[in-house]
Amino acid sequence: MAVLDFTYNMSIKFSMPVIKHCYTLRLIPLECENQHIEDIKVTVFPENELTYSNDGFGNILVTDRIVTMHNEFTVNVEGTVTTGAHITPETDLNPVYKYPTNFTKCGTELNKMFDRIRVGISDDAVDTAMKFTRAIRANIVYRAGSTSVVTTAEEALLNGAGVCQDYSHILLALLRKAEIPCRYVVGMMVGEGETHAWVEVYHNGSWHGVDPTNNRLADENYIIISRGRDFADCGINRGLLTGGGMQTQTVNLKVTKR
Amino acid sequence: MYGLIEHTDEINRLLARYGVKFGIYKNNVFNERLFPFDAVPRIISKDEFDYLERGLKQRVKALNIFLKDIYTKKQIIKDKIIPEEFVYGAAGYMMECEGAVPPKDVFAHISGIDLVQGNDMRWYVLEDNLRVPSGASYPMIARELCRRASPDTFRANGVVDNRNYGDLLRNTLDYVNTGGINVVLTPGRFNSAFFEHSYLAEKTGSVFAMPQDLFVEGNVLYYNEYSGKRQRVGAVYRRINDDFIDPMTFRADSLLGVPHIMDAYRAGNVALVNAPGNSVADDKGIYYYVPAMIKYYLGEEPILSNAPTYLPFYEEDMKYVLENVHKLVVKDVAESGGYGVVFGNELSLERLYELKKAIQKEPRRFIAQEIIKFNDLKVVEHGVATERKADLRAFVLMGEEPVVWQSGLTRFAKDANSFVVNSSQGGGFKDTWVLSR
Repeated sequence: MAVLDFTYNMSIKFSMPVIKHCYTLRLIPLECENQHIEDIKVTVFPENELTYSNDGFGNILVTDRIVTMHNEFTVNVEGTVTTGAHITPETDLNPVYKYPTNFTKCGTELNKMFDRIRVGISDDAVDTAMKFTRAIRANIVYRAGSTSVVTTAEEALLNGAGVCQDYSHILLALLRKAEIPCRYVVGMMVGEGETHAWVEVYHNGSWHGVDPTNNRLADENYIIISRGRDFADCGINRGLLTGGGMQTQTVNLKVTKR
Repeated sequence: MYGLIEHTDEINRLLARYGVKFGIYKNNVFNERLFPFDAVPRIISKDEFDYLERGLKQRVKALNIFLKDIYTKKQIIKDKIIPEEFVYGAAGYMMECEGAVPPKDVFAHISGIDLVQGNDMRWYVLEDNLRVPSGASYPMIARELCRRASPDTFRANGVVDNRNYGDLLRNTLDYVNTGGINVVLTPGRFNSAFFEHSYLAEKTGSVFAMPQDLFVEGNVLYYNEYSGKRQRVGAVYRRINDDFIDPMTFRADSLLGVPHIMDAYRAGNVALVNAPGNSVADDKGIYYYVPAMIKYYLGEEPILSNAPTYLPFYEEDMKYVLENVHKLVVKDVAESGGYGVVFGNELSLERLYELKKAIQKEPRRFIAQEIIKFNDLKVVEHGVATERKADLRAFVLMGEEPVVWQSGLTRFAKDANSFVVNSSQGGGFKDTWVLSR
């Protein structure tokens, strides 16, 4: 068990005024088996009628529709979360996590890689995921900015470099190929920087957190924000704008352990 | 009836004037086409329709329970009645709808069930359309014009009036309405069924809205009046596909949608008619399991039959399909509107070989059916009587109980030898008479 304090700040500056703006934010840590929200404060500017909902994955959405002109959009979320081991109690599996998605479809490269590492598949899905993780790390290097939000697992592997999103997508693709159900997780880690992404693997009826980027299991230093089949299900900020011109985004995240 | 046939040209002229058109995209070019009307009706006796009605109600009831099950408990999967890959590995299932139960548990508000009658006079269901089935307006307005052209025909023959479709649809909308106005939402005039959208808005007394007329605030859907006043919306008969209905949830590039409408729906604040996510029931792979579904959910024997169908997914069926593909019709499960349908008897040996390879490679992607010997219907072409293949789209509307509209859309093939009757493939239509005695 650990108690983590976090502060997340995002700011988008527009070169031209935005006259209409709808947004959906997935930024609120989940209240779930692995973690408990002690305290949370959400500030969004501008806001009109800030609304909370859930999506099909059980993630928390913050939505609004702004019709007043603005040049800047800022989001601040801060709070305190009690965290623990990243193993859920036994739970029903939605079979949807078994099947490849657009981001996690295996092409030639992934299929080749899978053939090389399939010997590592065992009855222990978490162990298999860790073996796959080591293979992934032998094939790609971490390089910020080397991929984009539309890069698929296949493309990242071909590219030979990527960020946490790509490590996670490749692991998901390989695990699903091995018929191991798995899901994508967006969250935060103790330290400073940006949000992080990792994977959960379904094993013996429970979900286990595996972080391929850092070659370790997720633990009390991790806070879960959202889960989905892949990156597309966990968009942190999805917006629909009229106007706006060019956008400059800055993100600051700080998570400290008490 | 001859009085009616004499007026065919006049009725077609009036239909054109009222804008009864069908738009088709071909090679990315939009063309509006008249939907040719043939005045010889399809006639269904009272007894026969009673039978169809019982079967259709049963089928739609089961499909509606299926949809709720799939998006919540998934009991039919756990009990292994339907293999999970046919649901969760298929494009029709939408995770965005997981856990969402619509107002009054109604998913399938309007179902268009396509049937054909074999030359043994037996009816077979060919497909279920639970997404946004179109077509009811065509026989409605045709009947209106036919009654004007030849009122005696209807008096003499005891035909059940079908002009109540608007009332039935309105009852359905009112039944699921969460408080607020009813709206018919059209993507705009470039949709292939724009005439129908406007006609049904008028006939149900609903507000006719374009996407930009609606907005969501605080998880509540509003209609923006021209005066700037907002009105709460309780039910939306939306004629926009799921993919395009909410750019915040589905395709971000959709300009036809209403941002956050899915959030309002998931919060239970508005009924979307039909419910999003229904595409899982339209899947041709799922069609195969509808009889099993009826037994499973209702504990009843299915009243209506499917066309004899094979799923290459099962080894035994695969063997049969590979041996007999030259006399079967093969359908791609994810396609609709008459696309992705091939008749084995029309293929060259080379194409047959390719088709077999494709089936073996992706067994889950195809179903194969025996080609039904249709009971062809009479049509009048250039003043001469001839015959065409035809189907019947029956409409089932869900309220507290399902109601079957006492008519339907009879579509016939464009050419004498064609089996494909979809309007998007260039066919025509007829009125469907249900006799009152």
